[in-house]
Amino acid sequence: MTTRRNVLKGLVAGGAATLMGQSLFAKAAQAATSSQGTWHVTGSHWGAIRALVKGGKVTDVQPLEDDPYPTDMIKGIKGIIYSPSRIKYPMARADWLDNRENADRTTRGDNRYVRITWDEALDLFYEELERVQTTHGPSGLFAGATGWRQTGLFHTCINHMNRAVSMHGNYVRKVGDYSTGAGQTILPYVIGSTEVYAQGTSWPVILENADTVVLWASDPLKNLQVGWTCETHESLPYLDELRDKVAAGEIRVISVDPVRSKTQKHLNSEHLYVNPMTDVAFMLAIAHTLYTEDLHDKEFLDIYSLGFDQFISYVMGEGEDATVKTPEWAAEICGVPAEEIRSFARLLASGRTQFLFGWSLQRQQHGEQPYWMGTILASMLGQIGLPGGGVSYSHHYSGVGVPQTGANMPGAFPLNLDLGKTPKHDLHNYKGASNVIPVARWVDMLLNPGDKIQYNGHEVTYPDVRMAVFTGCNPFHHHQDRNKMRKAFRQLETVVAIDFAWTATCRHADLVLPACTQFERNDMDTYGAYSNTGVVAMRKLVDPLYQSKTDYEIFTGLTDRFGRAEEYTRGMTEMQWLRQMYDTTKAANDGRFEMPDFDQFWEDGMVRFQRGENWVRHAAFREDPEINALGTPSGFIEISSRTIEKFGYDDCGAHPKWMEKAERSHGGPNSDRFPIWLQSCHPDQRLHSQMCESDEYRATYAVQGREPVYISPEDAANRGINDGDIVRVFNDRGQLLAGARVSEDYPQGVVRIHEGAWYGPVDASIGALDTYGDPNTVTMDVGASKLSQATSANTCLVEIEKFEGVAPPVTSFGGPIEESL
Amino acid sequence: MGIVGAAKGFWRTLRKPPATISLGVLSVGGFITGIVFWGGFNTALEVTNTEAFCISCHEMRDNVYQELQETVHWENRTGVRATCPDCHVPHEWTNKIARKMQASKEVWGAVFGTINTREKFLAKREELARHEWARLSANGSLECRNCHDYDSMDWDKMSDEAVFYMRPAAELNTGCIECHKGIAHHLPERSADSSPVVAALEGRAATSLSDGQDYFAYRPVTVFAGEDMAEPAGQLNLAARIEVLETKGDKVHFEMKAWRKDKGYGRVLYDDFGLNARVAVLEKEAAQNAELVQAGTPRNDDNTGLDWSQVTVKLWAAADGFVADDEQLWDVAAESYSSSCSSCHAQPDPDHFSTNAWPALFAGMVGFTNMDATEQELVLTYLQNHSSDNSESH
Amino acid sequence: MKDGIEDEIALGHPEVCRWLAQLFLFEVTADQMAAYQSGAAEPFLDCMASVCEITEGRAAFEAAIVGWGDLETPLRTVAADYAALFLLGEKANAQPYASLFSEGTGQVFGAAHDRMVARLSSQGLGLSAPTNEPADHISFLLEYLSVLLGSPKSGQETPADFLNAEILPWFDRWAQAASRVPVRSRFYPELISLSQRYLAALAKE
Repeated sequence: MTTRRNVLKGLVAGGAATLMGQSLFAKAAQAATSSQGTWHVTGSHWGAIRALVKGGKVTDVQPLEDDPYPTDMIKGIKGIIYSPSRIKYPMARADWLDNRENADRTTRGDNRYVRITWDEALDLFYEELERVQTTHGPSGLFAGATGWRQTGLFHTCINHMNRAVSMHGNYVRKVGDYSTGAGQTILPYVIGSTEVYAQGTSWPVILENADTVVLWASDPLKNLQVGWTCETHESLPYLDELRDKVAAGEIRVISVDPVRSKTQKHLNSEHLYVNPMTDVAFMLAIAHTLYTEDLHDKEFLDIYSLGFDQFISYVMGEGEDATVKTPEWAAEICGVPAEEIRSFARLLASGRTQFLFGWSLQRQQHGEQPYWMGTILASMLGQIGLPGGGVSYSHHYSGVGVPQTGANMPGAFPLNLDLGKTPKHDLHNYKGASNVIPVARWVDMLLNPGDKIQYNGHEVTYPDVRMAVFTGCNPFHHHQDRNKMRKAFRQLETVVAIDFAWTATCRHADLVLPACTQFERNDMDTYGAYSNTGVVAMRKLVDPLYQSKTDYEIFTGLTDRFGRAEEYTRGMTEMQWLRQMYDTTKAANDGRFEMPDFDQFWEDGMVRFQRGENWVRHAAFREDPEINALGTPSGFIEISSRTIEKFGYDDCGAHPKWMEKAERSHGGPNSDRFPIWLQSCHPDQRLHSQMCESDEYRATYAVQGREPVYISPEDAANRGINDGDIVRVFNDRGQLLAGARVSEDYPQGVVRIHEGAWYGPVDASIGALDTYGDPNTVTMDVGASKLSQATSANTCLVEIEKFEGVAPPVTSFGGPIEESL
Repeated sequence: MGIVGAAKGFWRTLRKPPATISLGVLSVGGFITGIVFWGGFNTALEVTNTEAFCISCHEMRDNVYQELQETVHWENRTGVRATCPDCHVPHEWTNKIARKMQASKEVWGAVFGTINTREKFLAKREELARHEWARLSANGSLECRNCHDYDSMDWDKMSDEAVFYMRPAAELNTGCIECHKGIAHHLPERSADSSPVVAALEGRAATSLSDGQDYFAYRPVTVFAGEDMAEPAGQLNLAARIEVLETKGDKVHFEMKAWRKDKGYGRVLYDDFGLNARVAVLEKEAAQNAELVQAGTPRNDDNTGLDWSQVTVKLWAAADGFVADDEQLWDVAAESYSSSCSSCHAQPDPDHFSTNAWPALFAGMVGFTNMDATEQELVLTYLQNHSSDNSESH
Repeated sequence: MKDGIEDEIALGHPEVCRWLAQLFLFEVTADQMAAYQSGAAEPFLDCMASVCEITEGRAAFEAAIVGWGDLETPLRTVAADYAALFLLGEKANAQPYASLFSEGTGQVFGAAHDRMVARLSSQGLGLSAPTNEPADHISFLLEYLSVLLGSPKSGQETPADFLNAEILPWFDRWAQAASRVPVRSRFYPELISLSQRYLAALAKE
């Protein structure tokens, strides 16, 4: 190879030098020869792990040895850190950078970004906060949406963003969440607590005492893989014990579900198929059977509940609809034969019955009703508060049912302003609009400023929002009706997104700030969100990649722009905070739970506590309903609610009722045009949309690079679809490509696409084909009812066809793995 | 989580993690800037006034002396160390003699083995601690004030939170030990009124009660039917409002107006008609004793269909469990709510929900916090008293 | 770097590789844009032309530079093209990492990165650019190639060996991916195809 060179002089030389720049290398000390690496303990939503760090890289990730039931998703963690979807630099949307609020908003999502420096980025962030506060006031800013963030109590991004933005000014916030919006709103009126996030009866108690366990639209084996904080997986071995008891004939487990679930298959238990969205009709008929066959516990109802008479007269056809809710009536709707309904009701009343409800059931239109009915059926059986009886709405979540140690856990970085502090702009004029919005209605809010809606007994007026800030939160996954949402995003003048990966939310933002992953910062976490099994040290594995920063650094930089950085940090470093959090917890546990000093803890990676005592939910209420009254308006179980009745809502009344849905499969409205029900439940191989960007792991379940759509053999055959085909799933709201997985677990007329599949439209236009398979491209964005205004994601009908021709490449991710190899 | 009645927390000298700076940490900043250097500790005292003497008993050496070494009184950035006699032997000579006489009980105990194992020591700790607290309470925390005093605190250098807690105490010249129990040794196992919120409020307690005035319970207050305070009749909730009828020594006879539901034994008293904000729980016998509890005509609550009756209750209690101003309670409650309920999400404004909605929402989430039962009660009461029912904005 | 103050420089293949390395790591600056518009790329293109036929590609590249004059915000537009090609991966990923295009794991910081770290370390070198980019970024590979070309030492890896081992196995696939990325200026696409032709030829020199 030649090394001949031409000598350039003068201007030509100068020009060439300008283009060449300086060497990208510098002299460096010779690195030490590669070692064996070091294993470090850290925590995650997927459990505690050991990570091998070698040569500045995470090279291996293994579950902690004593994790009794590690999730397969551990394999995806490396792919999160080293995903090509990582945000590498602060980026700004090109048109917005030049024109800000006057920029063309129809081009959101078209991928025209430029790299900017951190200084520029934080200046822009601050300038926009200033502009919006001073021009539009607090009703112009929406910074309330939050999501499942990365784990770590100090770096929890929700708190960092809220604290920093609150130092600048007030803003519109949210109430509720997408997971349990209807459930957490109705149950306080009925059984006196949100229940969905409450500790439940200990698993050993259920295993010991229950004769029948009803898994109602609940798939704990799937959902217990992940936890809100570092998950211990201690609840999963109980499912193995349950399987053994099923095999031994000691407990009957019945899964009430349109689909054969992962848990049902694991337990090898019974399946009771119900038509989608018809559970309330089925339940009313069970109530009818219990009542007419005198199987209900009248004494329990008398002592512990109110309003049974009003409810039962509706069941018996004495209400306005003059329809007796017989099993024959219900069979027509729910698809369960009348005799089977009767025998199921008798079974429930024949011994100790524990209901375990999942959350999917309440993420539908009128999602309050089946949850309310769950408490009513349990009340009629009279076993609420007994070991192995009653009703739970949480056993599939974050280790609920594992006895709690009782130890104090570390708190978190403060979300709020310090005592006595006020924002830089302490403005409170929301211009007649509400400052809190039911979370699932914020897209309506963007589209209809000034409109009024009913919510939980009061009126909400939508503010005129101009700017939104999202951190660790991906509404372009969790909100419904992508195309409506894209329209709504055009209302926003400025969108700031802080994340570590290019989610679709970031791709629709104007200013995108790269946070580092949790594996690139020091932190600690509660080990077991409910069990409080211990505290896990989260030692930084590698330095932040590219120019990403911790949320702490990002918001220190932001608050510094208005002179509040010292207040924001309280003058402490990351490690000082951790030390203080730990020491405070140690002091709080002093004398009750042994904790080593911080340095030892940091070295060990974990401190564990003795498992707590077994416990029975609602036992105290049963023991003494006067002293231990429920949190309902009356203090008793409210089978009928006068409080709700007084709201006068047509879609949530005095007691549960069967109400037809806007669209429903199996003969319901609109099923002639779109005959298939799409369920979009929590994924088996992700945590919502987290880890979808982990390319190698995604490749283990994707079908031709697309998100799987699970379909029955009958529906597939009728449409000429084979397992492994790319299909188009569509309705009037949108269209997506997915990969067909034909499965016997699905009945005719039912398909599933797990939520959290990354949205990747072919272009920025409204209605664009989604290339990967985000189910919310086709779901409906209406409130579950005026009571909760929660998501109705599971009220969704579609049609499916085999996709012919050359499928457009997937645009959701940064990696080329599907395309080039 | 969510284990009702299992008081999880304990009165932490180091308060709630980590949204608030612990009081222990505060005292480093606040107290040290306030230290008066008065020329060394007890330099020329007899041998029983030395640390060496104290730890010559293994009970002291292995228990409290070890604990001291973990604290700021042992090691701090000023380099000043407090040793046993600095706090436990009164600095004034005659008191010192008296104190040593009292100490002979511990010496006796060591000889006869009442605290000669760790277990026995722990079992006895509360008694020993209460003894010391009572002594420090009685002398206004004299030994603490040899080094720390309100006048030399540099308020500007203290955090807002430190000022928040310290100011009212300074105004009342409250003794240090009232809030800073456990500053040098571990605390005894939990006891009923040992919540951190109670500790925070202790400095604000009313020192005397005036007849005809209203006061508010700042800790769970046991109430009695008679002046002899022999038979407990129930317990007041935090923030329960009483009107003083008369005080006799350290006892108070009070009247309380409240409401109760007519379903059940009528043991639970509520603040107002139809509103589930509790003020007291009575024993069954007391609740049904017409001499103690006078009930009015039942009135139906349209929201539930239940009948409620107004009641007037006249009972006795110890006089030291009250504050004159309920804002004192709300200050502490608001701070606890704001820090404990924002670990996972932004906490809703109190007036976002109604008085009767709060118990359910609170019960649904409180298990994620470290609040003990007393703190839960105070915060829930705060939320109910500041709910949409009490707010003009909703 | 102080612009235009050098009186005299020698320009050969090491400098062409250095030039390409800069282009793939940083956006075009205003000064550089002006320099391109006054023909500063010519010596580099001349050098390229000495090893391969680039007449058409060169014309297209120069036309793209002329085309900047028609853009409303040329600097911003070219920077956005740069980001779409090299920093983002949405429409069709062309993030210029050897690991991504040669290892099939869908992960960056792969084995190619490790090999480059080892190579640099053995030469007493480290990355100077403040990017925390992986060492198998095309720019670092080209810079390393430039070093090899500039100071050949006997017994060490030859530039051709290096090209064949680390760059050429995946460069075509990367170039193909880049060609699918929607851009407003043809500057980068033409640059990439010129590079493709040039590097292939250089390996055979």
